[in-house]
Amino acid sequence: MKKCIRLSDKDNVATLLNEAANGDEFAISDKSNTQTGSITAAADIPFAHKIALKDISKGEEIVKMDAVIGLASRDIPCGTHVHIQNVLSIEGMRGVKDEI
Amino acid sequence: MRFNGYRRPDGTSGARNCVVIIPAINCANDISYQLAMTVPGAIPLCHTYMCPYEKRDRDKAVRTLIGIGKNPNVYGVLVVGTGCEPVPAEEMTEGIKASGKPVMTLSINTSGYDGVMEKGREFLLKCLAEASELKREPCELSDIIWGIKCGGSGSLSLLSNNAAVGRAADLLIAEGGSVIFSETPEILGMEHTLAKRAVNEEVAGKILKCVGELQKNISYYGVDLLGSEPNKGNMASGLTTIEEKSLGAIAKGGTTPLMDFLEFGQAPAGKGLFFMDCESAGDPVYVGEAAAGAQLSALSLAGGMPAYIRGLASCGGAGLQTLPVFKVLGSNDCKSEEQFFDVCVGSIIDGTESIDEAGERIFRKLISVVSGETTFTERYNKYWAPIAFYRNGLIV
Repeated sequence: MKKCIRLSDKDNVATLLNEAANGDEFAISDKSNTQTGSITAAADIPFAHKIALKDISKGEEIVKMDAVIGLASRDIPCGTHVHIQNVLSIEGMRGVKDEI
Repeated sequence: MRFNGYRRPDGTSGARNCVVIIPAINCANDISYQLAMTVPGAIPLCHTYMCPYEKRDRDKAVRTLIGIGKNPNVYGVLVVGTGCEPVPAEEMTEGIKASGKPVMTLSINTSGYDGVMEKGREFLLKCLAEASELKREPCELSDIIWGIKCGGSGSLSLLSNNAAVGRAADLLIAEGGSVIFSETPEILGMEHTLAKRAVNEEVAGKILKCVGELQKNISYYGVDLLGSEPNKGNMASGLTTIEEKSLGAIAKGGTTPLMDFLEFGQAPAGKGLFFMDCESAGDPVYVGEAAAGAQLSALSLAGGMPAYIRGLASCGGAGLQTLPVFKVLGSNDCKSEEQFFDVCVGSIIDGTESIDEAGERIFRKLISVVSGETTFTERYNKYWAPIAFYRNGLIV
């Protein structure tokens, strides 16, 4: 099965270790390479990009390896691609006044 | 465990045995370069430090050039001044002399063009002859200062190359050695994580203050980070925000406590892990590391850069000729490119090697490079850009 890696239990995204086509099933592995669950891709997602592990609401924190890496700029459905089209950097907003 | 290095009069150990010419100001670049052309083996360390640098940057540039001269990879130094440089060439020479190595100053103003060429050539030939007599001897790993830079970051950096480089950093520190990592813009968003690893509150405070100043400038200048932090290649490789890029970037520093926050080009006072203030461009990072006494550096790369560029010897900036840089590749999707790298750890993504095993391979490569094995960049790079400094001030 194709694989993605979730680096901490609190993470709401995982990094794909294979390219995803809409409908592909992925094993979710933890850091020690143990399978902890599975998820179905709900969009085409490139290799090494992030997949949403749950429905994420606009304004919610994006968490990877227990760290906040940005805020959802729109609702992100479970299984879809999490990237610049739906995430804003908190640091980035210091220079460019984006609104969520 | 030990490595084979060149013992220096001040008790440090070198991985290379260079004889260099340091211009005391950029106006002396030309004559330094011409002099090196008449003395095969002498390295001209031309640079960009010029009179209009304001005081803060001037001090930083002079400290950096002194540090590069004192670096244990250097056997001897010729400092060439013009006679009108803002900080006299003799002061630079005095700074370098503290290391006990052969140093000479020549000034175009007092010796004239022909005098500099003649006396300089004589000194350099003598230095090169003496340097060639020196043999490598067993040296302690605790003498090693290893600089680390990352580049072409992608989501895989956190999982493979930076994780494995971080493991190698832990191994060197366990042997009593030191590691310096840098790139202040690439700890943005993760500065609190790093500050928590500081040995004391003073060090934590220095990190937060420095990042705070950068954040203020980002607001003041209205900087749009998207496009550089992360850049186009980073984003194509899965990185979405600077916070995510920083998360991967700090992984290369391993897991040991942060002993101090260094100013650009400042030598560490003790042993262990250090963070140095610098921009994220390759060249100034290597320059700052060399000035701090690093005998080697590593460039840790993932997929965030087109394959045909990632393979270039000077990719991300080659640094300076006195500092060997070995390249580590973390991607597993470019087998044909592996010939361009010193260590490939895409095996971590393939699942055929653990981070620990890859980290040990990197550590062994490090020992081998400081003991004399040439790196890909040393073998193939023929163009060396003038040394670039990290500046905070204006050119006025």
